[in-house]
Amino acid sequence: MYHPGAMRLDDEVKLIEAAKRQPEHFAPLYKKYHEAVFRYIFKRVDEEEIAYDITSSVFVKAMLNLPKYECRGLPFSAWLFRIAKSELYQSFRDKKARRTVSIDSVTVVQLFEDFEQTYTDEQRHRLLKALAQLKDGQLQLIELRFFERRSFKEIGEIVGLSENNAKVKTFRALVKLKDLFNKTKA
Amino acid sequence: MIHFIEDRKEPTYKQIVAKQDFEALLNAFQKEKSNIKQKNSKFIFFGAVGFASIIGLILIIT
Repeated sequence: MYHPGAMRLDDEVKLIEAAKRQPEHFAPLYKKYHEAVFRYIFKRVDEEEIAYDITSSVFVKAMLNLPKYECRGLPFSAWLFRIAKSELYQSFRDKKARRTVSIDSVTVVQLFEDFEQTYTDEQRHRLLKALAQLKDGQLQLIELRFFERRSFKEIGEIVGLSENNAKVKTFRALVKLKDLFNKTKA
Repeated sequence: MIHFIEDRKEPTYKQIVAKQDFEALLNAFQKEKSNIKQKNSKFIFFGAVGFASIIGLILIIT
């Protein structure tokens, strides 16, 4: 769930302005986005406790930097996800967490339908090998689109691209994945 | 090295909320804010001491 309650952007701006004046007023924004940010982080690290720690530092950073935040027509979550991404990569650099890709059988089967392949154990091994060879930016797009089933609009907001650009780049990433998959032996 | 986890069980909304409520975040924020303030005041203090020493040294030399 990305925009629970479909809060309008101008309502959100009011909440942000209130939170800038008084940190206690950050609560509605925290309630709205905490779960989504946690799940985004959880899927990318190997330990649940680390996911909680990173989520906490994302929101502390967001509160500390809130006075500098300017609304540019994007939902507040786009900014939070950018902080989350930077905190995640910092924890990978500090070796506090391992870069993880969480996949489930259902989404993998759908990906295989896209590849016009049948899902077997051997094919699954090939897919994991191919995924590991993707550039990180491409892997992120595949994760967001195929493993987390996000819309191109959401993907664009998370990775800082327009909706169209997100669509084009995801398509290219999929082509690259197919190519690597076909070249990879089990 | 990428690590793959398949069919991972995710915590429920209740578990997530129970683990991280807003009060805990607010406390962490206040703590971090006071740490930053302390660091900044130390920086200003040592900066002022350094600046005063340089001026003093210049005055002694001249």
